[in-house]
Amino acid sequence: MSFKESIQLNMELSYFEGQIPVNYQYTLGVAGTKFFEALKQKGEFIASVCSHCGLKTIYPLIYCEECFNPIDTYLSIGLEGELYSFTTCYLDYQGNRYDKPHVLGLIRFKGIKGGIIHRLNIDEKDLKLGMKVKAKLKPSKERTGTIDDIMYFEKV
Amino acid sequence: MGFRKVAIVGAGITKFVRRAQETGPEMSYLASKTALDQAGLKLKDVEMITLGSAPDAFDGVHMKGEYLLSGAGGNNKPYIRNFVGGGTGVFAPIHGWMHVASGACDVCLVVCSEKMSSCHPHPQGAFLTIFDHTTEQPLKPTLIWIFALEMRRYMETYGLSKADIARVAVKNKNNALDHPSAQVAEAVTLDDVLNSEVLAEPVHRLDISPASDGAAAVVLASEEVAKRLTDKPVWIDGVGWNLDTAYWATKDLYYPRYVEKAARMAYEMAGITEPHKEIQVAEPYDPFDYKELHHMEGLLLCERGEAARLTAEGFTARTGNLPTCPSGGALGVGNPIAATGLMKVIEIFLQLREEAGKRQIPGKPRVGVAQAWGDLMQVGTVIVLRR
Repeated sequence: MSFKESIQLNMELSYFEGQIPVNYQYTLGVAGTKFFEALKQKGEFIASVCSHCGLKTIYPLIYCEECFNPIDTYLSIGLEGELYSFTTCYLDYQGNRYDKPHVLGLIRFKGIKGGIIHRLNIDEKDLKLGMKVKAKLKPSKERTGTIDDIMYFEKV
Repeated sequence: MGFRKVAIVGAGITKFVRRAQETGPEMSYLASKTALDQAGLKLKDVEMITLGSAPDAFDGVHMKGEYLLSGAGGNNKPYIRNFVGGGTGVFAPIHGWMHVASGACDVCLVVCSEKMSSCHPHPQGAFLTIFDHTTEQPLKPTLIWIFALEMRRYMETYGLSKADIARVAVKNKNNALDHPSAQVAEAVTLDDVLNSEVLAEPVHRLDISPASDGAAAVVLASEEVAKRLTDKPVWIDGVGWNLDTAYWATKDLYYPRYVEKAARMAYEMAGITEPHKEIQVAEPYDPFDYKELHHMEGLLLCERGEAARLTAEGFTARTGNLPTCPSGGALGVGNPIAATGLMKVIEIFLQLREEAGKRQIPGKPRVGVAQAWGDLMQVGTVIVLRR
């Protein structure tokens, strides 16, 4: 056995550099396209509604997760929800410290399964579970049909 | 050996396409729902689920099994992903068979999905890192290099010409004209294949299956449940799988011993002693045309080196003595890796039920075999079905 625990960097050993030379183009899918088109064009969130069992879901789906029937009904639910949980983050995914901490929340909508995770533009001392929050969108001309069309959620 | 009998009672396939608008979970749903509807079951009737999908790097989603879970009906169920690369599509129903044959459940949904179009500029980039990082990756190999080496060795060993090989592509792409899921069905001729773009000698463009998006699903049931659901259950009579060394350069390129070992395992379970006489329809894995021939020999459906002659004589056409890839195969229907293998199992299921429509082979077949291959070019997965 020769585990070289004292070596801190791979480059102190014989090595080859490598990478997986691909990038990705993810399609939004059928339901995802409806969600982001509604966000871009109408400035609203939509949920899917199962016409068999009544389950409402955000992000919307083309199938019901409960009864597995196909879904073709989508419902506008506005932009207002309730703060289900939140966190203040200090490090990015590479371990670098943010200049300014990021405050993130999980927002849920009454009577709807699922939720949206996004930035919060709310003073930390005001954050409280259950508080009403509303999405602040980019101006319609600047929206591109992506999750960044939502700038953040703010207090109602 | 104390296993319970297991039947396939329903099947579903999406279209195989170059780029689907649907996400992986959406494709998984469409195949799963079709399979459940055909079986006359609801998701609540499904006790366990197994999901097959090839490398995460294709879809660009790590933990792909978990990502696909909801679309495969797996929420709050005993659900697990199985994975042996390109062999996955036939291993997935074997994995489902384990669930039912062992008595762990009576109804198991088997789902396979692949969305290769996410991967840019080409899935070959993801394949690069299946090669050894020290000795092979610096040469920037592609999969086609490997297959060119294997195809040449196979041709040289048995004195075959490129036309001998290309007849498989002609047969399968034409067969696929009758498959509703087909992506690259085409009335190609031998000259079309031989004159198509050379990728890496001796491999030409039309010798190869395409990258695809697609999904497939089957419902498995125990004997008691199957007999209640349908008067046409198709029984899983034998299963086999086998893996050779992962270092492909050590293998005999002209013969897939690991496929033979997997086949022998499945045949022994199915009580088949003379596969070339007892099996009436076969779906050997055909991502490249020569691989169908390679695999016919590994499956013991003919003598070594004989598969090309049998193909030339029409023996493997739909009207021949042993139709192979009546579906159109990966070469014609398309190749969304894991979904392709399961599509082959579904083709045998439909052929044995005499529900294959225009693709139906004559003679009321009762026994068929489907096989997939891949991983690091060293896995064979085999399933024998019987009416």
